[in-house]
Amino acid sequence: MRSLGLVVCCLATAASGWLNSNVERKLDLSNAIVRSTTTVTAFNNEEATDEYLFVVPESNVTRIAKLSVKVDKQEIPITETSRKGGNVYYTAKLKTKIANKASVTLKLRRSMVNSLRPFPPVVKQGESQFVDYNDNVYFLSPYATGKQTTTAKLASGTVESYSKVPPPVIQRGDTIVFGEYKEVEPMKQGPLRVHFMNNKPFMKAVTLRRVIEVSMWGNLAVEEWYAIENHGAKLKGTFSRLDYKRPGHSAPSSFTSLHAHLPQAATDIYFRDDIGNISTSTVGHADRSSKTREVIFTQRFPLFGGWKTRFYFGYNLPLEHALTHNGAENKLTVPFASPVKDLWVDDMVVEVILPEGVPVPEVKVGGKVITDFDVEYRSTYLDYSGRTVIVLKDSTLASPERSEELQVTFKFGTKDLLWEPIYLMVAFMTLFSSIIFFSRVLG
Amino acid sequence: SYSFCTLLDTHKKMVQDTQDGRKVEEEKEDDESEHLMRFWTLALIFMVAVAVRLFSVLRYEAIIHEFDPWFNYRTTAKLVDDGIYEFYSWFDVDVWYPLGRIVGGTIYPGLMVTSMILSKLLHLVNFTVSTRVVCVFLAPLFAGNTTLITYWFAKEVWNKRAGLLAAFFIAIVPSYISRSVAGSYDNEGVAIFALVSVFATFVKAVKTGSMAWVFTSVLTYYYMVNAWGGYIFIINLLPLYVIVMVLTGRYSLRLHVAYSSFYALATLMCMQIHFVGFQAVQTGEHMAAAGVFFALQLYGFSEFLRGHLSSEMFTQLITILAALAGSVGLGAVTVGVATGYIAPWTGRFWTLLDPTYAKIHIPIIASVSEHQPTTWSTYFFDLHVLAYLIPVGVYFCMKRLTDATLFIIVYVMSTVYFSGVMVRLMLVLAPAACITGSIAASEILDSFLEACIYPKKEATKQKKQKKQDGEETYEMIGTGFRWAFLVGLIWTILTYVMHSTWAASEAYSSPSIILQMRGHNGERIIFDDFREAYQWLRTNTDRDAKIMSWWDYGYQITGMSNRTVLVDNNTWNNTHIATVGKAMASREDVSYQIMKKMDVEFALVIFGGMAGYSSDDINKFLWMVRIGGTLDNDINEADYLSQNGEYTMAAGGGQAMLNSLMYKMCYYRFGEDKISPQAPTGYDRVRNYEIGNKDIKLTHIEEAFTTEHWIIRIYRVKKEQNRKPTPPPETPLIPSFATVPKQ
Repeated sequence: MRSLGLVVCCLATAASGWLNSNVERKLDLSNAIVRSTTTVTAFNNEEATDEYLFVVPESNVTRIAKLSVKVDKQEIPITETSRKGGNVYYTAKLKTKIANKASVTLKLRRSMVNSLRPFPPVVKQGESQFVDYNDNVYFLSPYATGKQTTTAKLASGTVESYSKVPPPVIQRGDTIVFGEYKEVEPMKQGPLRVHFMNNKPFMKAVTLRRVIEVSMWGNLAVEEWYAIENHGAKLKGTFSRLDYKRPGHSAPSSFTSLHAHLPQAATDIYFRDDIGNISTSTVGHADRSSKTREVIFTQRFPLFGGWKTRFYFGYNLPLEHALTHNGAENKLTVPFASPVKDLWVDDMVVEVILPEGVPVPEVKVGGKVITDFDVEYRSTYLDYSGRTVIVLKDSTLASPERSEELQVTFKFGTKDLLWEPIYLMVAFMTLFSSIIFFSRVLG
Repeated sequence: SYSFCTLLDTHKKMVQDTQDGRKVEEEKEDDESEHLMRFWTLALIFMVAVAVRLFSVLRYEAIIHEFDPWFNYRTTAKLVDDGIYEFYSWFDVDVWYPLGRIVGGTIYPGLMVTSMILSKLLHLVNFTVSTRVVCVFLAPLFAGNTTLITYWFAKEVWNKRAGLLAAFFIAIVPSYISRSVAGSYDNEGVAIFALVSVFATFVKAVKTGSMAWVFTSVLTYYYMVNAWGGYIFIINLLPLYVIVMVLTGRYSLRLHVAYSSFYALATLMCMQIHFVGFQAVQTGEHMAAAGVFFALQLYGFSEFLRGHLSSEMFTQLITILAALAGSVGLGAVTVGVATGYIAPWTGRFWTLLDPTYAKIHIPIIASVSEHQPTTWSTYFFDLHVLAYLIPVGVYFCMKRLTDATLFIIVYVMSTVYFSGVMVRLMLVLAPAACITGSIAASEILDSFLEACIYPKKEATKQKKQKKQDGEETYEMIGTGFRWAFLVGLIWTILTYVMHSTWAASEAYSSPSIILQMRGHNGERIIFDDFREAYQWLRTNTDRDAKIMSWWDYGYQITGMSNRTVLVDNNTWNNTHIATVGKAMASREDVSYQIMKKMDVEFALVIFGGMAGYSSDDINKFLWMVRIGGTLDNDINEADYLSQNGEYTMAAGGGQAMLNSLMYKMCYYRFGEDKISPQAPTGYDRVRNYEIGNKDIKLTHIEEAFTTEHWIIRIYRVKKEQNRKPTPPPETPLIPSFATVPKQ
């Protein structure tokens, strides 16, 4: 994601031979994270090309959790090409050159955090939370668009207000359709605003630290430390347990549980915080299709707007589920992001603890080689020189959106496994022989 | 001085060590296999002692228990993280707001330093165990050590068989388990080990008269003083023992050397500890030891003179000397007390001598449950079979009186008395009970087993013995009866094992911050309200928020929530506690003024009326009223009682009670809810009645958080309003002078 290098190509104007014949944009506003899917049917007006440009306003870039383009269900690479006029231009590299007068259908997916502004910013315990969403009513594109519609799916049918220009704008239940707009010129903008009720939990992990420890004796231990905050409208006034328990009076925008999808083979799941075990988690049944198991982490107390808590959980996984090896070359493959559903992560640190004596490994995230990580050496049980720890920091993440895998390739042979038993043998030998010595010679 | 010694030794026919003869006999039978057997038995006892204390971890989790352990854990974490110098100069601003507390100089650091050393050692070999884990498992580990030292002690006093039994008894004695389960990270956990070590080494020093043993004893004593305030017991028991020795004509040079050098070195050593310092020579608690020290020198001198003078001259001289020494001593003490050099006895010490003292003079001491007198059932529950083996053991000790057994007698008799005064001192009785119990059990087993298994050998032996010293024998008791008795004894000991295991797993394992209740189907229901509230405070209040609660919860709030408290379990400032008591007991507007003065942001109460948790603040409230009443005359206990003088929250309860801040905070909106469909609204599950005042309005505070089962309720103290609200319309048209705004 970072340091992509300067693949500067100033062909923005040259590539303007495209025409968006049809754009269908779907905005999913029913969660705390805004997900949009835009299906673009692009028509090539000029000579054959394999580059398609799209634009994101600069102010939105930091809020993007995920950006991907698919053609025929296959993801294609995108690169940032230039910034001008307060916009960031991305180039999508198509698999094949599209000939003149030919069409291609692109599917743009974008997930945005921090895009729903709670308004009013404070609510009382029993009140619902309303949010305000602002966007461009048109699909922002450097190309002209033939026709386009935007469908916003809301969290509820309770809508305070929404922008009604340019017509037609139609609200049907929890859906608002903007358009269809015809003949939209390039880079056209117009305000889109919806103010509606959204009581979905606004879960945000202020910090997340994932620790993945590899034991070559056959275990992978995963531990994840969260500092969670309810990022929705802040609680005003008192919290009454009496009202909270009464049916119908409870607090709609608060949440108590986090749902996580852990690997099906995960064992010894624990859930704790600074002061001990939190005894309110539920391990659900395994979901065979996705090879995961849903675990519900219920917090000690409900989290209202602005309330925070901290906790950590962890589990063990048989190593064969995550590690493949070819001789002394081992390849560890684990999900990169947090397994918690609908959680937006501000700051994430991933630490991979490799066995002792492993040289600096090769790290890939989502297939891309990463070089920007720290290496530490940490000594714990039965260590002499310390285990190799790689520390990856990432601050532009919304975990559920990122399905990439973290791949660590490191060298560790079978004979390296013998060090620990040797340490133990030496320790016990010393102990016993000194006892023998002292009882025979001195005793 | 060599001549002095030899003279004294030859002159005074010292009491013969009768045990010497027996010892030779015993050492003969100690062959290789028995040695191995004993080693493994001890190893197993050690493991049992550790394992039986792990029930708390199995039933709950590896967590620090109760109240004081949270403070100890917090200080240990500080010590491990910041080092010893930071620790000693630590001024804790998070407690006793706004006074703070000089922690480094006001605690016994032995426990924390022990954990730190253990933790550092483990980290040295890369065993990265967290401080919490070290703290949780320290007490079981030391319980294991205690079994070993008890074995050695009983072996020195009696024999190895008694030693093994003593180790076995102390490994699982419920009284000791109650203070040393995993997680019970308290001073007593290491102090009992230190206590038994001091006694064992001191007895060894008296037996041998060797300076090496005296020095060992002083070192263990130094550790003990570091670890626990209960060292006062040692420094008073040893002089008592010396007095008893002298009075029973058992004075010897060994005793003289042991006690004199012990006193001198021990006093010097314990003065090195910040918290003790000059108290060791200035306070009343230490004076008995000093007095006996000087008296012993005089006694030794007189014994020396006795050999050089005729008996008439000696009597005269002694009379004069005694009168002189007595008046000088008395004079010194009088002057010392009058000038304030010698501090008078503290309240707790007085309570030991006069159990009714605290009730009259210091309500804070009397309000602590562990300072209450012990009930008979506690004796049985905490000692079980030992409770009636003690007298038997004392009988055997009397029968074979040596310096060591006399010590045991003095030890057990004094602790039986003290344990009756304060329930927490049961713990000091436990080792004494185990040793006397083991002497009793081993003697019975010895004679009966031998007689049962080798009836012929025993008979001839007895005859021989009868001829020799005419001692009474068990000849008239038949073999059948002996077997029955043996089986009976073994069965009793087995029930002791059962009882102790049960007590360890059920009675003494609860961390008391996690409540476990039984559901209708016998399933366990966890009430985790304490941690729910403490975690809420930890994550949802400002770091420097000041929390007002009754002092019982101070250590927990600083430990688990990491927030500032007004008062905590280190009850060093009675006025401050009384202020909090007054705030809790007063009307809301009066309390508000107190809370504003104290910068209180949150007030926290423990309320059990919804969940049925009986040790809540309402049940402690009368103590708050009493202690709050010591501040000034605003609080009057009688106002809080009903007209019949009852302590009740129901209708008819005292008006001051029903309008107090405590009542309001506990029962706010409680009157709107029912605990079950049949019950009336506002029915208190603990007190079993309907509360008197259901219509509670709060003006200056607002509910901030209530836990799932209402056990902890936290209120936010509102900020002062900018101006007075506009007067309601029904005020008279011509305002009184008080409401006319100043021009």
